[in-house]
Amino acid sequence: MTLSMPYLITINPGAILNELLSWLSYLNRGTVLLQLFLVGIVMVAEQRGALRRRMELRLVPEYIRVLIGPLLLLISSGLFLLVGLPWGLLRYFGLLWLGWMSFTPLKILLLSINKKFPVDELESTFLRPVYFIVATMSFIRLMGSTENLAQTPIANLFGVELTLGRIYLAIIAIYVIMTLSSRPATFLAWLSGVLFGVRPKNRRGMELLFRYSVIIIGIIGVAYFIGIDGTAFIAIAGGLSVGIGFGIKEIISNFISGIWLLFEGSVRPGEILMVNGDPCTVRKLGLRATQLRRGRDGAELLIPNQIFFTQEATSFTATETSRRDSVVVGAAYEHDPDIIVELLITIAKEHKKVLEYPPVKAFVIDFAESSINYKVLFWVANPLDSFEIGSDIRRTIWKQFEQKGITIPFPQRQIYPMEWPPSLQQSMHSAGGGGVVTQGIEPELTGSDEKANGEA
Amino acid sequence: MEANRVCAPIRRNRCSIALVLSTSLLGGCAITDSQGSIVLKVAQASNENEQHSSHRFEAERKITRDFQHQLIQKQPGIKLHPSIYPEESLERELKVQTNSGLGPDLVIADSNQALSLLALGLTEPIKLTKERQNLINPAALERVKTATGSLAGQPVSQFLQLACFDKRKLKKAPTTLSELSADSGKGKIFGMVTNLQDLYWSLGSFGAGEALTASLAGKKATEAAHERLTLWMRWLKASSYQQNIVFLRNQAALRKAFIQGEMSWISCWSSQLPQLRKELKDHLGIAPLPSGNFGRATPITRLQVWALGKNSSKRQRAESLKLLNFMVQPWAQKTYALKYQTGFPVNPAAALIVSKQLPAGFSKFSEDENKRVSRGDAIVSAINAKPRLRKDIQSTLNKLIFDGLSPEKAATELQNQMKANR
Repeated sequence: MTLSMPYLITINPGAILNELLSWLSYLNRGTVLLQLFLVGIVMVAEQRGALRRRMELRLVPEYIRVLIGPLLLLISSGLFLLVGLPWGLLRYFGLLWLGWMSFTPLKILLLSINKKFPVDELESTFLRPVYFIVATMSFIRLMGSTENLAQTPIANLFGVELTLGRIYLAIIAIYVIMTLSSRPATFLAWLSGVLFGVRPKNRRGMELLFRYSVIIIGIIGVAYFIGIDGTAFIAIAGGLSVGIGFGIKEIISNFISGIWLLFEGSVRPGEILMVNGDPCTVRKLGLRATQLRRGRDGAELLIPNQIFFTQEATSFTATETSRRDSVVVGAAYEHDPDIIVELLITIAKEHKKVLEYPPVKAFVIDFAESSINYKVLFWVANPLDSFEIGSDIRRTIWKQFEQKGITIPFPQRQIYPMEWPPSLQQSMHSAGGGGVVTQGIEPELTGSDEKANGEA
Repeated sequence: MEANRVCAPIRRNRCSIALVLSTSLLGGCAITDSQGSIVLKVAQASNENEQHSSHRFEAERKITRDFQHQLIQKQPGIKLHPSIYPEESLERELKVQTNSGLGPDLVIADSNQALSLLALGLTEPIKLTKERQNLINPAALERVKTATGSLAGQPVSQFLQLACFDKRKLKKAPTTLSELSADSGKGKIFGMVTNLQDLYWSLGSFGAGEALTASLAGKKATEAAHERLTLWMRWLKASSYQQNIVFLRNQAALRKAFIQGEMSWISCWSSQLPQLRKELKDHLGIAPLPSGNFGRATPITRLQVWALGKNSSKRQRAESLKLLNFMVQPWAQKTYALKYQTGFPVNPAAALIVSKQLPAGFSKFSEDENKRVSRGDAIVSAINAKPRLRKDIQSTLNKLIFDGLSPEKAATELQNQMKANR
């Protein structure tokens, strides 16, 4: 069976299928079937809880009880050995199972030694992958020649013959590079900080750049290892360019934008950006999108990198972190604007988090309908604090105005109900008065008063 | 309600049912394929002696694949599934598989390995009828016989030690050691391997094998035999001083250098000819190894032995025996020897037919020749069966060729080692 794209990729899974099918010939053998049958019985019994339900076993912790199944298989393999029957399959499945079940006791043990030990990370990034590799390799070794199978060609990529072993190793190598690349990257970023005095905030960006570099170099190394040379790279690049043009344009665009933003330093982890009027902290600059945390409600925002690259963004931390904020307030016409301005400046200055320099300023900004409006402008060191400081200043203004008898006027509106059909008096008003309330007529209130008038 | 009562136990035991069904189904598939043939797993020890490389077993795999296809036409009931193992790890791997019941149905190895596998309980002894035994060269059968007289396997083919040369660099292979020396003086580069198995051919040219046989038997070699062994050591020492005679540590390195054009002539094995033919094409020349003043070269031969695995089912065993019978019949012996030209038939009748049609190095080989070189095969087999002795001999040869050990001392040391470790 050959699936091919002329001159580019040829895939020939026939050899692998043959190998897999040949494994079935072992099922002709009674001793193999007997071992598999026993494994099946123990596994089913374990799954249905038959091995753990006994009263005397309930006193044993769960993480010990789960080891009963695998231990039964190992004991069976010992018995098979004693009576001279093949026993390796029982031992293999027993050990495999025991290994899998040992994760929990191992994690408990590690946590008992050190509660802060990252056991989950260790399990997912190291223990389980290693377990998978060991399990597959030992299984293949049982079934046939590992080396023979490893050298079975299954694909041809740009004239390079890819064997199963090389593909397997390449996958493992790429996984290891992706998982462990953060360590050397962190070290390099730290080293840059020490040697060249890079600020901690910039180090995180550098760390990401180093990480991408390690991954790219690693992938190129893996490609060379599996035999893809310079010519093949050119061919792959040619193929990719078509792919980029049609299918994965957005992904590449986001990736390149992310790299560029890191170089430029405008969007780095720790930066504070305004997104739709809300200050947000950059948490992570990913391959495709930037992760931000919105200060207002703590929501996590995922914004494609190219948005920052192509659209306007407001940063409060690009060159300096201080931000200017303002509070608008209105005071009655009867108060002297000089006194109000002076009072507003004093209130703002007295707040602990308002910067002394640049100085606080207050202005008269409008002669409005019912009040003279003022604006007090002040600078804060951390843009994320401005919301809280604004609130503090507003509260203080209210209290100070209250103390000093300064009123904050508000528009007042009088409402008169209309009757239908209009009475003669109303009609005369409408025609001659233009709707303005004439002197001598008391304005009426809505609600019960209206009813009371009607009844009258 | 009634339906629910019937279905409930099925639902409860669905895992068990699925397991039984899938096992039965797979078991059914395993017995035969669509053509009704049975799959026989074959473990084959590599003859290439290559170090780890991406192209390890490439040539052998190609031959094996071709042989599979050829065999299906003649034996439609049998489908071989070979796996090639590095020689050094064959025993270890077979142990793991046999202990699990997943051992191969057939094991292809050399005579020493076959004996060793039987001793370890990884293969079954084979019982050959008188009629079948008559089809096989008695000397070959003798090499797979255990102390108790049982057979560790059935010899199928015999690989020979030959001289391989590049026709572009050397018009004619040297027929004597003197010619070899003369050609090396003309700038032709000759390559050899520094282990006794690969150098043994040159012992015959000096008649030095007698001293080794005596030492292995624990006897003191005659003065003349000792002198001839010393002469061989002197020749080795003198050759190591020559700029154009190169000694490398293994056959794989030698072959690589030859393929890359760094050598004009090397000692080689017939089992490795496919790889050399693929690389050098028509420029590859094959000749017998050069003789000396005392006598003709005594090349070593390696048997290809097919042994029975331990875990086969009744049907797999029956088909394996059927295949073994087929493999020693004159037709199969003649056909495969001529087709692959890597080994000499073990069936004397077939050997007589093919000897005239094989290339020069092979054509000189005959039943008489087989008897003549059998002493070397016995010595090398005995040494290979004792890893410690093999290591000591290797050390002596290394010191002689690469260090300052004198031929006289080396000859004495070698005999003492053989006596001590016999």
